[in-house]
Amino acid sequence: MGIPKLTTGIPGFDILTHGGIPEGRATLVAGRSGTGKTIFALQLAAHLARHHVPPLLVGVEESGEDLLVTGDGLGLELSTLRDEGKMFVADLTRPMEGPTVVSGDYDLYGLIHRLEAAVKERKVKAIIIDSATALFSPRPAPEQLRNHFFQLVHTLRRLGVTGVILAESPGDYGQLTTLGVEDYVCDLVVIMRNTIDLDRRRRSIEVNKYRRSGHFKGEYPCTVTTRGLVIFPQNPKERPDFVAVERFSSGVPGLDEMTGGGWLRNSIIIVRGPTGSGKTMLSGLYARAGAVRGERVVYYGFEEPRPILVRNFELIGMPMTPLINSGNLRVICRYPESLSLEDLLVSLRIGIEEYSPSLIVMDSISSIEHASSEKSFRQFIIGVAALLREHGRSALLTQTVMPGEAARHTAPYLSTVADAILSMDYSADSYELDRQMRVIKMRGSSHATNPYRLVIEPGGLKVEKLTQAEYLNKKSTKNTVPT
Amino acid sequence: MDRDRHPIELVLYISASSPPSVRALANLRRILRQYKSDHVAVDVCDLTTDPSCGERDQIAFTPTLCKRAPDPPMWILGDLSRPEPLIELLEYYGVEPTHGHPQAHHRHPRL
Repeated sequence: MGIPKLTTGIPGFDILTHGGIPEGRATLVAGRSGTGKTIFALQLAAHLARHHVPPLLVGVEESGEDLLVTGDGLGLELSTLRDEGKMFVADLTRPMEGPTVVSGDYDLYGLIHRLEAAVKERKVKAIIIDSATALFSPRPAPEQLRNHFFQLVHTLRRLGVTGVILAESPGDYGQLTTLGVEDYVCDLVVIMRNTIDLDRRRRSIEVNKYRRSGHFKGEYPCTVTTRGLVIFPQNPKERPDFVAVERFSSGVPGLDEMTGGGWLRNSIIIVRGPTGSGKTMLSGLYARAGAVRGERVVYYGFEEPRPILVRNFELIGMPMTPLINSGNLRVICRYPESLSLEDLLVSLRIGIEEYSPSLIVMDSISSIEHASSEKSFRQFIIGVAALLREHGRSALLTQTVMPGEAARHTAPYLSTVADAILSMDYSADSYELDRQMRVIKMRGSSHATNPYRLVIEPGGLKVEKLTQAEYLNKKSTKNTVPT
Repeated sequence: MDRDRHPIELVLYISASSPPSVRALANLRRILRQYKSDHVAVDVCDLTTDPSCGERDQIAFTPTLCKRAPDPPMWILGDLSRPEPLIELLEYYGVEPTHGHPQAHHRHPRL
């Protein structure tokens, strides 16, 4: 089995910790100021209060009332929970009002008696302290501090309550806390970070240590929304063995033939090619096929403003407006430079949960890649893949590469994330722009490996197989357009 | 400060479980005996018998000596083995020493 745990209700966190925080033990949440520790504590308090684990929230930097107000602002309804007697608050802010001078030894019995009373009289089962750093101020000598902290954790154990202690870190990496001792005595240590990565804020959370329990290792992206903290674990619930049975038609016979029967359900398709090779067109086809069938589709565009995108589709015979009006298609365009990847992940998650699309298009992820750091982008892609798999959605992502490079490109994680990869290219050696595409990879399927031609005609698109002669002829006279 | 009408109000928070608290009581008694009793009003609050009395001043540590009046509030943590903070406080507010005639502070039985 495993040690008893309490779920936290913080999206993603219970996955990282394989079930939540250790019951009856102490958890340390460390991070620089502004990393979201208090929000973590408030969300946790709300969840525990609603699940018959009455918490006592001890405010040191901010009063209990202020913490309740902050929680209410996140929609947690903490004041209501307090009024209903499902949670309690205590203030230790007064000593911040005036100077505190030290005249000799002291211990923690003031707090201990207060906690004892809370447990005995109010049946409190969890105690959350925000924060230990503020509590132990002025900071005593390390030896005394260690004793105080031990005394605190020992009291929590003795009272049989679950403890969550917040502490401030001097930096994002390196020494864990300003006090320097807490991580040794706590069974679970969580670190929250908020760093700047190529001009972008990047929030992350890490389960640094979890005694007697397995957990996800390393940092995971997270973000703070108007509803609180949201974490994106990269390995979601076990994905059922991939069974590539269900397919849906693209609406273009040649394309269905090329993919061996149509697009695969619950798969992530990457369409890769240079600008002008027809990726957006293909994305449009994919989106339309779904919407026309009555499914819900979300199209995220990062290349052009929405009116231009919609008009371009119309011009090539793929009118989107009726589908948008019927509610089956949502087109959302964003400038990647002004985008926070965490916010985009959250927006995706909320979009999936509220609108429930079965298909998602992102055109193109390269725009996002160029506007972020390698690390952020990688975390983003993995977050997207995890999100999609968690909800069993299908997606098509377009990727821009240089002409002629389509087959060679790419970060290994992108290829791993994709169930199918289509490569598109074009040559301008004939009078017409000759667009070609082929399936490079299609997991779990037999598919054509030969190149196909994409032809834009009045009223739509045509996809037709190239004969070997045509292909060889093209290849020998190939004259790619310089960029 | 008008010391005739406004004595300093001090509260010592202690806990029977806390060894420094016991020392603080003795040290406080010893120090206050050197000063005129009508200038200082002292109360002792034992958190083991009355946990709620610590809530008003939000006491986390014991012993804590809290100056409730006059404003601003001030906290002296610790067993008073270093008497300077308290002595400086008393002298700042013009509490007069008894010059060799130790006085008992009868406001509280434990002192």
